[in-house]
Amino acid sequence: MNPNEHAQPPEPSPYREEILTPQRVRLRRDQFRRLCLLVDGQREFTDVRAAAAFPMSSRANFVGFLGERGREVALIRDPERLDRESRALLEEEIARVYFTPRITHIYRIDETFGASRWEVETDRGFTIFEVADREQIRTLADGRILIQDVDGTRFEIPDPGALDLASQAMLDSET
Amino acid sequence: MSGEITSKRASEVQHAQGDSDGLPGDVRPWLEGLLRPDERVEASLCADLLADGRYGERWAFLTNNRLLVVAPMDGSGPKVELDLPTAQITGCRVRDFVSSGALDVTTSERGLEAIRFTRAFRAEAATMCFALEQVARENTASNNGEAVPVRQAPPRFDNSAGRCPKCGRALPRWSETCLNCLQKGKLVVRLFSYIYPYRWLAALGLTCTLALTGLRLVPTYLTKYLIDDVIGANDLNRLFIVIVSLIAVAVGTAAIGSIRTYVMQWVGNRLMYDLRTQVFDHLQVLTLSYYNRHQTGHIMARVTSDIVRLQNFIAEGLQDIIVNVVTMVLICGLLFWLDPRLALIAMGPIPAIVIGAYWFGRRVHRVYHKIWRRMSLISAVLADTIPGIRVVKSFAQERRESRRFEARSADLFHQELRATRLSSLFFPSMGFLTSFGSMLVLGLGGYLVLTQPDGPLTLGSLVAFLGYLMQFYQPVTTLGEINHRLQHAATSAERVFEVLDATPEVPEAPGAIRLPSIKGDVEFRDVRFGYEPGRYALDGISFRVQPGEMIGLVGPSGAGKSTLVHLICRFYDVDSGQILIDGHDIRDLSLRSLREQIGVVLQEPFLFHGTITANIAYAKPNASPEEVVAAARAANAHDFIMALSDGYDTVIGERGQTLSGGERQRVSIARAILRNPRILILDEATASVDTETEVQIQRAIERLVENRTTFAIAHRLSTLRKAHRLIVLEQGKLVEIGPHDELIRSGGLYSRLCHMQSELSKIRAW
Repeated sequence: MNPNEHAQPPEPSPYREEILTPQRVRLRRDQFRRLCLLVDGQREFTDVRAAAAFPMSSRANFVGFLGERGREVALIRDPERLDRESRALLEEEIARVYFTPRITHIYRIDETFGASRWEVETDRGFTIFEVADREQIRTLADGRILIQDVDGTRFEIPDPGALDLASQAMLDSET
Repeated sequence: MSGEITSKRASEVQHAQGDSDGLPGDVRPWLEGLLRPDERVEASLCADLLADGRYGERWAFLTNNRLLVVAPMDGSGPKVELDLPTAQITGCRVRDFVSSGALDVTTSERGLEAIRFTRAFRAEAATMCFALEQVARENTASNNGEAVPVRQAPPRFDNSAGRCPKCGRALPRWSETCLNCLQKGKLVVRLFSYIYPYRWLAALGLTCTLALTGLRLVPTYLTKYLIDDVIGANDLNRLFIVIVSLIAVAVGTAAIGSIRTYVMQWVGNRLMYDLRTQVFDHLQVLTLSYYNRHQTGHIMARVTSDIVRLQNFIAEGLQDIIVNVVTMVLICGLLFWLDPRLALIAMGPIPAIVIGAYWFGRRVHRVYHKIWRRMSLISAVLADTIPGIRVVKSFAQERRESRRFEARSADLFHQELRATRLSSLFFPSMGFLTSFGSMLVLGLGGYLVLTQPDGPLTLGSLVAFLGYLMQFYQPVTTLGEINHRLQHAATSAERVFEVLDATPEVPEAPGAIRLPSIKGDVEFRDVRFGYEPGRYALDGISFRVQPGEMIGLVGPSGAGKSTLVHLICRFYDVDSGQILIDGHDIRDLSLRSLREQIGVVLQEPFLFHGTITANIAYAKPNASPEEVVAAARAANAHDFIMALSDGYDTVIGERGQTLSGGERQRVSIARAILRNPRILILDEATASVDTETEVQIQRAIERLVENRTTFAIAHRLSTLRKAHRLIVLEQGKLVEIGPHDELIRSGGLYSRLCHMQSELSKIRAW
């Protein structure tokens, strides 16, 4: 049997009305590497997906756990107060879901007719990506720059002013 | 620098798909070292992330007995990170995240993340997952002692969204065509093939253009003659000749000019007419998937503005280029003929002018783009606040909106200043360069005329020289623009030709069968279909419908109900499995004969601009008035139509704005009735009308479905009470099928949906 199959859809989670404190929940991975959420030591939800409520503004302050068909089973606040093991698991999961390399240096930007090709150094290593148009390069209200490449991968420049001057000059002609 | 390797690898892998195994040459040697003698690779995946989220190249290979994940080390040889016998695999899934994804594999005891990748590798990962799922299914079947399912070729997922299919580079969003792969020469040749039928007219236009260019040079030369040989020689007769010649030139210029304009506009407009018609005809042939990939606005722009741009290019741009180049060459020759020494001096500022114009063009383009972006930010504020002014005022946020607007307005102001600084620097410098050239010529020329009265340079020659020089610098400054103009025209041409070259994606089989009249027996056999790689909108659907049966399609939104009916119409082709109508695979039927037998009533009926009669008789334009009225009566539409002052001749707006939702719906039902199809599709036909109208539509539908195979999608389950059987879909899978009573008894999803709706209708009844 495929472990993902359920004969009967589960009833809605009883925790949908409240915001849980991190002390009430524990996370673990089962033998199939699925993320499982245990609430109050009683009720366990298998194969949940973590989703940040404000992924752009403050990455992990509110974290929801989505169960089957994307329905939220629980919402917690301040996940940094989770127990160590759960926190490590959540951080690992959030890092996957919101994988966003931070650009630390720009080697070159080649622009032809609106599309640009970027060669950059990021906190994840060197990479090359392409941007379909300048609308995909957004400056947020707090000054951060978010870039989405042609395949949908996101990149971030947390503080453009902190980049070296050569990188800043190249960046300026794109924003 | 592993990221670079992977980036290159990605395009290499995409391009190597034609090879037998799709592997780049440098992988094969070390891969062969890893394989056992009898082992062969069945599927491979190159990905770009390490387990810890750093960039790095990883390969996954599915062989006939193992799943391998390998780190291709430089120098020290490859390192196997995962070596899993395929017999252990029980499942596989791709996890899709915001920017990346992971391929997870499960065995009976554990689950593991085989490989991670960024979104560029999603399609390849989905293909790998498809192969692994097949292995898992085979394992499950052989463990349960069942027959091993037949292997299917993995679907080829389209990864090209946003990328050039030829070179794999990102497409600029505005152009939709790859400007790197653009072969300007070929495009121009192709464009000329459209001019060919009108070649004599085009040649006439070109001759006129050249004649005009020549004529424009005459008056300056006559000036030289006037000064040297008329005034200098005190000859009144000659003055008369000069004046007559000047008048003749002026008349000739005007006459030839008007002929040229008319001829070139005629050719341009005629070309536009030909292209427009051809593009529209082809758009009608293209499949829905083409329309899904392109925005409606962009497609319309190709028929309108791109073609207009081509016309402008043919009628004006091309001529400007020819005139400028010819003028430059002619004048250049004249200048050297008049005086080579002065000509050399006059050429001095030219490199600076050309380079300057090119530099300015690039810079100013960037700044204008910035301005354009700021403008659109301002428009965004306007588009928010003006229509939403009631909300702004009721929450007393006028000041905040003003501040928001002012900030953006100031930003725009600063960018505008940048552009102004640039042009205020550029144009005067260009002006200075050209007048500097003239001053040099005037200085040296004046010196030569004064000191060598008998020399080759006469006063008249000098004046003519200065006159030609003024005519010379102007086309030089436009030289920098030629490439830009050609580029734009070529892009437009490419976009237009791209439509013409697009092939329908549901091709008609060469020996397509025409079914004169079908019975309406519909069968789905293990149908899988997805709009996106690896995400199935329908997953393994099998059922069979008897002729004349009414089937209700039920399920939460996004369950795949509309997709299912789209597949019956063959708007898309299945990824795997088969759809049979009267025992024929629908891919073997001719599209026309298939769709002629299918009638569709949509949730949002689309009525064309025209009379009600024309709309009802849309599928059968030669229908008699009796037939139209009978169809309208059957659709419960007759009464409201008769109440309109223009009756059946009432013109309804572009989207039938003057009719209510229920009325439009009944017109579209009448349209379906008149067509008399064997298979009927009702897509939420009563979704957005009040209860009384619903009853009327309901009755109309009941008449319509008699003796026809019907697929009805409905949220209100009451609509489906006449259905013989219901198909309940959830997340692309068929979860229940059977008559209403049976499904209620079984207590599954359908009975829960019914229960919820009867609760709801109690509330509504209050």
